[in-house]
Amino acid sequence: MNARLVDRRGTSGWRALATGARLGWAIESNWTDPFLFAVYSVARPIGAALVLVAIVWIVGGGGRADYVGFLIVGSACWTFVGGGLSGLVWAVLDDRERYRMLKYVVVSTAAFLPFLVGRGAGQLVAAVAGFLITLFVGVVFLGVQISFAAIDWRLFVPSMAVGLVAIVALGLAVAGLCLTTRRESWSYPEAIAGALYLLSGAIFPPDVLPGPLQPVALALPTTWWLEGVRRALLGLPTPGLLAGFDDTIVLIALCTSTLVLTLVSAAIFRAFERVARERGLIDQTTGS
Amino acid sequence: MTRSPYVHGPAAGPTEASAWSFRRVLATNLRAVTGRAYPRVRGSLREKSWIFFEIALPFLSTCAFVLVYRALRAPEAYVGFAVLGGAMTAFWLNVLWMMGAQLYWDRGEGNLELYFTAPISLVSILVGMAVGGLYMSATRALVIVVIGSVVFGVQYAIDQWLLLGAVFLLTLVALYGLGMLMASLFLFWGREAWHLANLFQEPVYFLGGLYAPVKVLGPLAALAIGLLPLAVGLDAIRQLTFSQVADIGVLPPLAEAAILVVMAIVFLLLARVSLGYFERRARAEGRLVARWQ
Repeated sequence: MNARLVDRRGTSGWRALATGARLGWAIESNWTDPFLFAVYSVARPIGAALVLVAIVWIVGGGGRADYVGFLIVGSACWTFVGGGLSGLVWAVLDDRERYRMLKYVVVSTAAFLPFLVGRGAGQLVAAVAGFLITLFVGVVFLGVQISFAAIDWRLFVPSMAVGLVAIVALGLAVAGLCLTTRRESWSYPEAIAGALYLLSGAIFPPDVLPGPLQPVALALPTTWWLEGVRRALLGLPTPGLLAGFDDTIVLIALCTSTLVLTLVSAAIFRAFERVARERGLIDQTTGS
Repeated sequence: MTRSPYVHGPAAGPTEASAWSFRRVLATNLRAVTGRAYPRVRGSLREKSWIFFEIALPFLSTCAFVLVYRALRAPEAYVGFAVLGGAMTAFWLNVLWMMGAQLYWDRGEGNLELYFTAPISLVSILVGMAVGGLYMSATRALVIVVIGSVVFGVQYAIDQWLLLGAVFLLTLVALYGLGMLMASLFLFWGREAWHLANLFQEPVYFLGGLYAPVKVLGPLAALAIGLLPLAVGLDAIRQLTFSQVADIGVLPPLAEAAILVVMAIVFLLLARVSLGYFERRARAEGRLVARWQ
């Protein structure tokens, strides 16, 4: 009996993660047929990228191919930020307010945090399609210079992997906060992603930001993540402030800022989870 | 005992009780319009987090696009285009989420059953939603325009105030007509409604010319002008508010005003027809009370 309990505790983290991921993916994808789901997954990021490309065309004509590449990679990567943040936050809100299953998950033997990460991962997985299609549209229709053979995989793989960890960590902190807030907090991910969009150099170099905001941009893992992915795919650093750092420094900055963010986010999540349990907010619905 | 104003005297039987005069039908539906608009008008200042997010989200997007224009060293008028686009985003988000997807939320909350059992037309509910949503979004849009204009120093050059006002109102009528049409379509759907609303958000930013004039879209501009009231209206509003910038519109503002009139009529009629059709289908297939599917 005890051995079985120990066994369940030992594997419950991974099992909860896998179960959450399966559930999250099913909720994310089974509302329609695969074709419409594919259209849905790519329409939004492509729409966002095309707005930016239209701006570049109208202002710079055809002479800003470098900037189009910068925008396309930034927009493609941003699908992960939107998906990662909203996946985790909506997992909390949906499971508490709509499906009303959060209380059962919390009292079950499954580890809550891994379950939540898995549950929110569905949107992150769906974002992969948006990322790839946006890059494809950029290369095929907009002349962005990305060659599969020329990709710096040694920079791309760690940048992308660590960047995704940073996004999930940030999503966890916001999801923790949403354990204690009402359901109106469904806008939080979009607001936070919007603020990061401005600060991380997603669509313009951080140099364009007002002076006091530039150090903030450099403290964010998303800035270094985007820079690492851009360098790996386009073979060029972002002109200006970020061009002064070599690839190693970019990776070190990304890893350091992600480590700090992850530790702080885990602490924030645990603190809010404790508050939510103490105040009995886990099983409260806040329909208004 | 005080007699309720909603009771119109004793009736001999159910048939007589259900035979309402035109005046009574109209009065009841007008009350429904007022009743549905009321929570949005009152709620527009009551829920502080809504105020923040409904202003902050479009404003953050506006800031991002303004900084892109600045990074590209674009003429200053383009900054004004982004500010106007940001303000109109408030209306589009409201139409999409608080018109299009609203009946989906109402079904989840159990309100939809009440709408259908009440002796009113669902069109009254949609009109009430539109009136309340329009007021709510107008307050947000105004704040975005004022803050954006002050922060980024936008200079407007308006010669035809009357036409500008008419185009703005026509844009909103056509846009909320589209919202009513979407609400009727989404009535039939479950989770698809939410996802489809999400699907339309960003592509319409592109096709509607929210942050870059729709003229830059080339052949797609004709499609946008033919389908999206936001594209037509914003194109005309930009021409009328930045008259110092030449050659930014697809068509002259008067022609675009005429297109908006046609769109408003067509969308409102289509919404009426489609509401009836989808209501019948949803009743037949038992989807009106199926929650969170």
